[in-house]
Amino acid sequence: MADVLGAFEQAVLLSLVRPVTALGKEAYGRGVLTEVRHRLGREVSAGAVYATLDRLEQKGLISSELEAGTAVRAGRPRRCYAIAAAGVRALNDAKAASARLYAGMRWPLRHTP
Amino acid sequence: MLRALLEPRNRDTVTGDLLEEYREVVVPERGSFGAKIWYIGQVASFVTTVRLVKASIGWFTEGAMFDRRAGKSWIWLVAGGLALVALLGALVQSRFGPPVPIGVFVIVSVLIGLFAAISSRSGGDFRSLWRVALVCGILVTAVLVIRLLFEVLDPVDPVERFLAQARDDYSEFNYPRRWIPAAAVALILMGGGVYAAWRTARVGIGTLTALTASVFGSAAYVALVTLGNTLPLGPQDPLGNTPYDLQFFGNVPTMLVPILAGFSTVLGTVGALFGRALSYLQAEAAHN
Repeated sequence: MADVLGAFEQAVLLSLVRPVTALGKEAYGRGVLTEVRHRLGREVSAGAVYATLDRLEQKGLISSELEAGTAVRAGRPRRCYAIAAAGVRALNDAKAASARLYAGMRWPLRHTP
Repeated sequence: MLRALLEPRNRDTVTGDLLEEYREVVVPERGSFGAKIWYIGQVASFVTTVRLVKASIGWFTEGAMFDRRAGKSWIWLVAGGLALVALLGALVQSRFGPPVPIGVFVIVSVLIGLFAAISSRSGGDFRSLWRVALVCGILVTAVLVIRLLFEVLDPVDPVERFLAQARDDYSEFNYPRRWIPAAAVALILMGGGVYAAWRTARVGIGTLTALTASVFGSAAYVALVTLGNTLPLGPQDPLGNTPYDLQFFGNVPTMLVPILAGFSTVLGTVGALFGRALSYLQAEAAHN
């Protein structure tokens, strides 16, 4: 297992695996941003999402392709993302690491001074 | 400012995403003033120390300032027109022979290739355009093979050609079998540059697409010639060389690959300037 993904990276990757919002299903930058906001249930900055997408692509966990732009975006191309096999493995590793971390715990945790 | 903060490969896609959100969601929800505040907040989310340093460097090395003003398609149309006129002028002046000494040619093409590679920096954009490069490469190979078939089936006397080239009034333009394939290859490579730059709004990607197409095309052709030379086919030419000797590149025209690669950087860049103009013309038309 290589370095474990951070929570935000996992949220971005998961938004590509099974998007639930209409925009998220289109899997371009704005769609991923919308999907991550929906998944985390809070506002996230565009800069953080795009930086994470770049980092994940550099790690080979996702790939991207350009698509033609539409009129509403003044013809500027859209970058569509897809999760790579390495990305799926990384998510599985992250889930396994998390399971090991919490193994043997009884929920909910109680504070015992 | 946002464009300067972004990597070159993300400038159009990220600003396009924000523009889309701005027009479709933010303006209807928050009004014009609120939308402007929102936009400033979005730009601020991209500001990090690393990005500021990179943007400062990019200001000088990548022409980020020029890039920002490039929404005016006429700049690119004029640049493409001037480059095309300069290229055609040099070719006419040299009577369609090599327009510059080989040393200058190598330096210019290497510099253009380097600038294209640096300005792109990421292979991400190019990955989505490899199909264009492949199609153009196949077309280049097809043209070269057709030219070769003419040479094999109806060979020109090499002595006659050599003497003709030695004359002062020699012009490639008088030999259609030589210049038509060359012009066809040039148009294919320029076309690849136009298309790639149109799709990505990046001149560097157009240059790299043409360069890749030329390498695909010429390498495939070299492989075919090498294969052909192993087959006992075709007539011997008057000098007794192997049947597929083209009298210019040698029995196996390996030098074709770097020579065509060099030309492709120039041709791809000229095409890419028009492609970028096309991209902005389209954007301006959509905006209006």
